[in-house]
Amino acid sequence: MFWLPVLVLILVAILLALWPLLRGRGPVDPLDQAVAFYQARKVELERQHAAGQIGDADFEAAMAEQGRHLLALGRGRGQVSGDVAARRRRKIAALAMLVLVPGITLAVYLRIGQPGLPDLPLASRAVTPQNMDVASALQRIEQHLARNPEDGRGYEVVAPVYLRAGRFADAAFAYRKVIALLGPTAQRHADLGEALVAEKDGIVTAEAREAFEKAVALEPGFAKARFYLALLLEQDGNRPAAIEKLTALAAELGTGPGRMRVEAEIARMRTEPGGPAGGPASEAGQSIAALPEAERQAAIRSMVDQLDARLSGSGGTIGEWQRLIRARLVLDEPDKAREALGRARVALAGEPDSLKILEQLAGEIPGKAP
Amino acid sequence: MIVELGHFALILGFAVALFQATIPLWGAIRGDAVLARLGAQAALVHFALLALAFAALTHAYLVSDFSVLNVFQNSHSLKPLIYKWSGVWGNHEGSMLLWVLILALFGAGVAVFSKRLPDDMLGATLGVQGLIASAFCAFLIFASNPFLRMPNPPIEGRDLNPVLQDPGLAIHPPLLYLGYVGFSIVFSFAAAALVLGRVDAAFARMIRPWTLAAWITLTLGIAMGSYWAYYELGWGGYWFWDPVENASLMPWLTGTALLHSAIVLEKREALKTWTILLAVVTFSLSLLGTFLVRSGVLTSVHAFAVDPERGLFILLILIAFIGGSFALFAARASALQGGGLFAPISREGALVFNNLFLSVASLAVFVGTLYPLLLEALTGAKISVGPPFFNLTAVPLMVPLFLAIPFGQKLAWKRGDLLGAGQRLWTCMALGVAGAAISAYAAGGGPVLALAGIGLGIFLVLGALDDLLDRALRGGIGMIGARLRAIPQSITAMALAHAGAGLMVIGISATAFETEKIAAMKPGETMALDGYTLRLEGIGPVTGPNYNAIAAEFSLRDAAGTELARLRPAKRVYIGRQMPTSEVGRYRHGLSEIYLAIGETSDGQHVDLRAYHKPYVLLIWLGPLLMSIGGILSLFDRRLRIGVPARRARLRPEPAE
Repeated sequence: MFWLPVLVLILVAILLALWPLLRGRGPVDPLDQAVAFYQARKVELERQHAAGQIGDADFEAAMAEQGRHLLALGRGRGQVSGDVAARRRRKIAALAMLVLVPGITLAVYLRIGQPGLPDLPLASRAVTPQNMDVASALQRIEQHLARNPEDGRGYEVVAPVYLRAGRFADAAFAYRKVIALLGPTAQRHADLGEALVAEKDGIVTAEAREAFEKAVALEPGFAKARFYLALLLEQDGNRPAAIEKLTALAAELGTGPGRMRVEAEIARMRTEPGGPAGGPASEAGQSIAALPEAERQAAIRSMVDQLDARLSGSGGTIGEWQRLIRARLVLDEPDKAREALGRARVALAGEPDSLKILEQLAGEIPGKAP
Repeated sequence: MIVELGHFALILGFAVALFQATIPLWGAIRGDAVLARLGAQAALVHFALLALAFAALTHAYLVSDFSVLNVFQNSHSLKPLIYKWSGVWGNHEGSMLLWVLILALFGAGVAVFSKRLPDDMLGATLGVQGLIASAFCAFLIFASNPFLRMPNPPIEGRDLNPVLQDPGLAIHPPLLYLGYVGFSIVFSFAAAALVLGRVDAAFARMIRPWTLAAWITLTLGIAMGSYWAYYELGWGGYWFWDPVENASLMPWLTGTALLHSAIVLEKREALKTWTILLAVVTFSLSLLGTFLVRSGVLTSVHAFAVDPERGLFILLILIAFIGGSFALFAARASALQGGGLFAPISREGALVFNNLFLSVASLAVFVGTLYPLLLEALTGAKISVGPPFFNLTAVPLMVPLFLAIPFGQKLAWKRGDLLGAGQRLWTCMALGVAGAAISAYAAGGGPVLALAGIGLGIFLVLGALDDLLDRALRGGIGMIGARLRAIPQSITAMALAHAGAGLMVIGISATAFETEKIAAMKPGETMALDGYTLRLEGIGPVTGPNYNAIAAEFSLRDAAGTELARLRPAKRVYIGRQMPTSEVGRYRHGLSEIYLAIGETSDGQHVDLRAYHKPYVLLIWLGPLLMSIGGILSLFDRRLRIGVPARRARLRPEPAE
């Protein structure tokens, strides 16, 4: 189906382009039109003269000028070339159009074109089930929200999706709409704060703090808000207070991912030398992040080795062991990870909860089981 | 299938352009009229094929076909319809397709209006146009192809830059391109004339409509770009001597010179080589301008390194056409016959004066724009040539030029009488000085240069209109009506265009008298601005279709306390790209404006306001608009124009038509 219109296109183009050759026309003196131009100027001068726009003397001078041009043109007039050469040229022209033009076109198109690929207009795509992934579902909701900007429930649905997709600013915007439309709750304010923190790469901004404080004001015990407010304390340089708050929080929480997260932070704060909040936000972290790739790997490895030595020597918490094993995995050293796991099992033998966590970790290590 | 057909049509158009570039040119050189005429047919077919390709791409944008890489990168299914249209040329590949389409449009135009062209001139011209078209089609197909596909496309596109989502910018690029590319056909005519060795009045007559058409659209395009910068960027400026702006100003300056020298060529057969050179230079500058902007060289010299293939391609095309045409000029210019003679004080002399100053001004802009780039490319040193450089070079060059315009209009062809011309202009000059004095009195003084500028502008406007008056009065009071009707359209056109230049000078000079006030305001507070009072009524959020905004509402009252308008300047943030843009609030009275822009409002309790009162600011764009109207009038005056020489014996000089 594709090649038929292509064929028609080529044929029409060639036919139109060669039309004058098919009609044929005798040789024309190229100066004919030039002579006609100066004749026309003479007529125009006569018209202006007759209309009284130019005086007699001016008219004569201008007419004389046109005459001189006509004489000059006459001298340049040559013979129009003969028939035989002309016929040969026309054959070449026709051949170029008939052979070279389609030839070049097809050669280029077949190299870079995709003749088999049909159009894919958006309207024809949304209905097919294989396209109904998260992205298109999200797009549907967005379209719905664009038409119904007052639908708070809709925003509440998309906000976490945005957060997971890494579209933090959109998530924050959606949570704001939720609060404005459905009213404030501790959960919604804390979620907004979380999105704002994520947007700023883990920094708790003034705006985020305001959100968390509103959440705590609505529900004093709200864990997520208290967690981030504690991180804010550390960020402001008061690490002991942060650890104290987090410890209190951990004590209130039942076992589960929430508590693990809190304990991991406490562990990080206890072990990490100086500096504010974790990761590249710390001064040391930032200087490491600025290093070239190879040096950065080396610097990270030496930090991990230090941690390893300390834990082997004086022991540590489950959080610290976890960090070590994860770090080994990130550095692509599964053997060392496995070995660290073994030592952790020995060191933490008396703590059943910790052993459970270690068993989970063991599943993450690739290769043969220890 | 539509997409692939469009792609195929583009490549077929390229092949036809190759045909157009060779066969008709060959025919023209051999004096074979039939072969030369094939150029017209090929140009029409080439245009039709490119139009098909452009329509296919536009269709892909309208139906959001994200299997086309270009559509995915620059469109979004929720974008308003007008920006789906304008999105086609809101990106590199699409705008290059538009560029080539306009190139083809001008070729087709020549083909359609070719009845009165000599066959060999038609063949050679369209041959050269075909060469340009082939080069750019090749660039488009091999280095910037808008029809590349993705087999498994995402469900949503990446949207168009929000700054470009503005109706002004939807039509600004096509207008500018019409101007830039329009000079290509003038260039082709010039190259053809060089090849065939025939430059005469008939040649000037041939290029007149094309030069005018290109000049009109370029003038409108630049004016619209300037107006857009004024209301969209929120700084109230109208010209920044930004390299992108300079890139369009350079061909405009030489194009204006070309327009005038072509008049001398048509009427008096003088300035032959100069006119040809200007045609070559103008299109070269257009090419340079297009690619300085398109290749990203202007924002950073290193953009060439980012995409070496594209950069090299552009460079080769530039070298081939600019170098080739100058070589052709050097080889053939001496073969052209000398033209008519004229005295220094004459209409011709005045136009040479005009050409000289316009060309030097263009050179000044050229140096100021390219020297920093060259320096950075060679030594890595970054220097900035800002407005001070241009204000000291290009601007002073324009002053004698503007001063000379009314005199030039009054001089006769071949030999003129400066004193005689001056006598009538004394009145205009006196009125200009009086106007400057009145402005000084009204504004309570002011910068001398700005006052001189206002005087100059008034002189220009009156001088231009005086020419019409002069002609109307020539037959006595009773004949005014008849004489006015008898004035050729081209004379009216000239008067309007020159008056437009005068209006623009007044508008630019008047910016020295603007008032600027900056304040942090809370709701309920007021600010006095040149006899007006602004009161901040409130600050609040506004939700647009694809943006959120913080808007401030001001009420504007005059001295008597009557409310004149409510102005709502705003800061918008586009959701898709998280980009802030500013919306200004404007109130027009007469030709002046009150202009409000607000800064960030972090707390919602107060706004940082910049308020301007800009007297006669609209003249800056009305002037160029009037110039274009003059150009359009002249375009539709299809008569032959013959400059009747003034005879030595004449005492009363009188420029005749």
